[in-house]
Amino acid sequence: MIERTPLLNIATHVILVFGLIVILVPIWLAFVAATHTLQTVNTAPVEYWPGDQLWVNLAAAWVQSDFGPKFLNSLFVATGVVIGKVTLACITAFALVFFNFRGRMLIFWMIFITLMLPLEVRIVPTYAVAANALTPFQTIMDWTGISWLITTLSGVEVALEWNLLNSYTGLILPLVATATGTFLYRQFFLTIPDELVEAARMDGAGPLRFLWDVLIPLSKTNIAALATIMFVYAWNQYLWPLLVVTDRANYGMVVVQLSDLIPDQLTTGGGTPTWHLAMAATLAVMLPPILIVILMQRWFVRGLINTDK
Amino acid sequence: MRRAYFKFSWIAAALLAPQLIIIFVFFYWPSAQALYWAFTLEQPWGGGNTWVGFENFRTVLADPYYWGSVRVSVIYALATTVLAMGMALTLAIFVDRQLAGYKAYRVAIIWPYAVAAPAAGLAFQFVFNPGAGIFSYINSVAPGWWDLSKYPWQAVTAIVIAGAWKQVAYSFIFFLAALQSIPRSLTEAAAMDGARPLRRMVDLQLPLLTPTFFFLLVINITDSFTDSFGIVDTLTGGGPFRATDLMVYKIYVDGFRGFDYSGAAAQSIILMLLVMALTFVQFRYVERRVHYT
Amino acid sequence: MQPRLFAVDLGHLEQFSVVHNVPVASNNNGYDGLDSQLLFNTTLHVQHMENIQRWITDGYALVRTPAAGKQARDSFIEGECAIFFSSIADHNTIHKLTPAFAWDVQMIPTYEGTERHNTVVGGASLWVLSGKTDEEYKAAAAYLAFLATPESEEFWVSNTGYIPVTKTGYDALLAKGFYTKQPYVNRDIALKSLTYTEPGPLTRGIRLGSFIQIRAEWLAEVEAALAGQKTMQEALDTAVARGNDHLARFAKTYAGKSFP
Repeated sequence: MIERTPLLNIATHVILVFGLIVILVPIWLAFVAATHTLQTVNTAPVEYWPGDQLWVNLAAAWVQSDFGPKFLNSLFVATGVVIGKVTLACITAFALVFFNFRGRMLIFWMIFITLMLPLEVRIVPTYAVAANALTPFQTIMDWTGISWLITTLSGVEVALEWNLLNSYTGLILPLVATATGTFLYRQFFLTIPDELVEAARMDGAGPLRFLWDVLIPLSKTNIAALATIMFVYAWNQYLWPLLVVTDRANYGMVVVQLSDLIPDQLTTGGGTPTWHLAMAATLAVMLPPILIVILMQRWFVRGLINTDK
Repeated sequence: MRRAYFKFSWIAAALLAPQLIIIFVFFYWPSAQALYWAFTLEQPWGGGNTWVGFENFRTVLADPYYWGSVRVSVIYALATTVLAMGMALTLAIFVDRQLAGYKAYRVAIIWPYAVAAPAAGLAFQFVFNPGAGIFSYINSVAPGWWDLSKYPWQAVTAIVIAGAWKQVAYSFIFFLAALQSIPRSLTEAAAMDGARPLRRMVDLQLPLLTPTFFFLLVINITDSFTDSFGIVDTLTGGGPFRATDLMVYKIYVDGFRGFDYSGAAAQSIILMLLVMALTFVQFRYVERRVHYT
Repeated sequence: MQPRLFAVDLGHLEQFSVVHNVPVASNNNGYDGLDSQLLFNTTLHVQHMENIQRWITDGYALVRTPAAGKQARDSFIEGECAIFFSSIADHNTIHKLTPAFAWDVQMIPTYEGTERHNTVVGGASLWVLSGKTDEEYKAAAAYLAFLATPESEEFWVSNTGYIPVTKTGYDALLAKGFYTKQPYVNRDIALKSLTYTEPGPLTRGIRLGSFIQIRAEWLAEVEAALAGQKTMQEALDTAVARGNDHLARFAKTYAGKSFP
């Protein structure tokens, strides 16, 4: 900036360095665990400095978890979620903020409430829906008598079925069905000055043109931040892929593979947790989202996009 | 909400439809089914159920341990939110000053967001380990002072720190994105008027951050109520003697480990009502005071 | 630090009661009906838990759970404690972790003046549910038969540390001299313990609804007692009362049903 502020600058560095230490210590320990043998990791005292086993552990974990195809699956699903989410959240928030209709507060809350009941809590019925995504419509048609009507009129039995288990659609769609993105866009759209919309309308721009020409260019930083978050969110999904995919050879995702390296005390009664392999695998699994985060942050920070702003 | 500009038309309907259909199929339908169980006694391996009205709610609400769970959940949610957002905001504002090396700080603060839950869980097991981790140094001075399996307040502190840690990068990303979208001309004009950096932070940046702040407040609070499962599970398992038995952990354990679907469903309804009430209060009293340009 | 005697994790309810032939619950540990009541606050189990509490206070035993920093097994491997109690699967694990001292495995101890009985299997199970097609049952039967072949059993035993699933499988392994070679020497202590006596009404096993929640109640109360919040007797009384509520609820969920 323009002025000289030496004291404040020192304070800035002190604060930032302190923050960094707090943030990085846990990750450092996980990294160290990946570089030792199982014996070292499982015995106290905890190691604070890396050992020489990183590549050995990585190679072992890579083979044991069949990571090659799993990485492609994860990449595909995460990309699908990002595209779906960024698009869907944008158009939904746009319709909610810029259109005048009754019940838009109601619709906003309907979408918003989906934040409040996590998947862990409704896992069994959600699985049932994934086994046949058209169940809700079938049931409604059965209740309302539409099925009966169709059967009587045309003689065709109504049996809708769309099985999403073991498919990319089944992995992606439910992860898109949350409110975070919509809420973020809404908060951003609310800060758009009235004058801008008025001006666009004076120029005769319809809603879609306004969205495309004015709002989207203005939302770039938000889109980039949201896309980053969603990529990492989708990549690190654990519970949902674990349930929806039984055909892990073809549709397995990397993070789920991690769970095989850490046996659950409660469900299997123990076994050997191979922490060194688990952490090595974790490092490998973390790499793509970290790259995305590092690459994308160039987009949601100023300097590269709007140098002259 | 603000004044709208366009009249409702088929365009708006078409824009809303995809999201509504998806949340209907994947959220409302299954949730409704789960919520139905709250009013029945559901046989865990199929085979039917009995309608019992509000009995499940009466059982849950009459249990003193359940109220303990509500209490610690509220403490956890408030503490993690304040810690995480406070830290994220501070770091974002200072990184935004763009002193030498700020790019390195920025990357270092952002990338932990990509760390998968199991790695973070393990790391914090090390950190809080009374016998071997960082806290063992305290124990070597005062033996037995730090013991997560014995002292409730220590267990709560541990999950709060781990939970807040997990949220810092998230909030930081959005705070920084928002700070970066403040037009430079505005900052320069303020500087020209003689506003020093600290004054600009308070008078210019913070007010412009309020929409983001509000977004993050809501997300962080709902997240700490609904997304604490992994941390509790790896660090404390709900103990010692239920001191860290957060509501969502209890629902998962009762429902999907203990196969009490109905009791868990009743607890889910209560959790959802609580989060909704909190969010509603936030909308009512916080968003009202947020002035958009 | 000098080695303590015991590393204690918190799982001393079921096997302890069975090996001493004392009930965990009425109705022969729940086998005879849904209207069972927990009894473990009235048996030798109470004295045992009070002993554990005393050993901890007097410095003979240490509590070792993940929340306390490490598991009992780690404490044993590091030589911090001389004895720990666990699943036979840990026989395999400890061999892999190769502690720096000679060690061996034994049946769980019984109190002086009591008579040793058989113990029971625990852990994961395979279930075949009703309501499937004949073909599916054929497949299920074929799979179970496959698991019971000597080859599968040997694979299973050498890779998991668990026990063979059939008597024939065990005999086949014995005939091959499987248990005379390291690292399998003495791993069949588990089988000797399981078959020590003929199973009686209290040593067949435990069949209780919501048992996972009952264990959780027991654990939370015992933790409270060990932290000095209440006496062990009070803790076990509370665990039984709360556990009985779970049992009553389970019975109501399956009202009118009975065990096959």
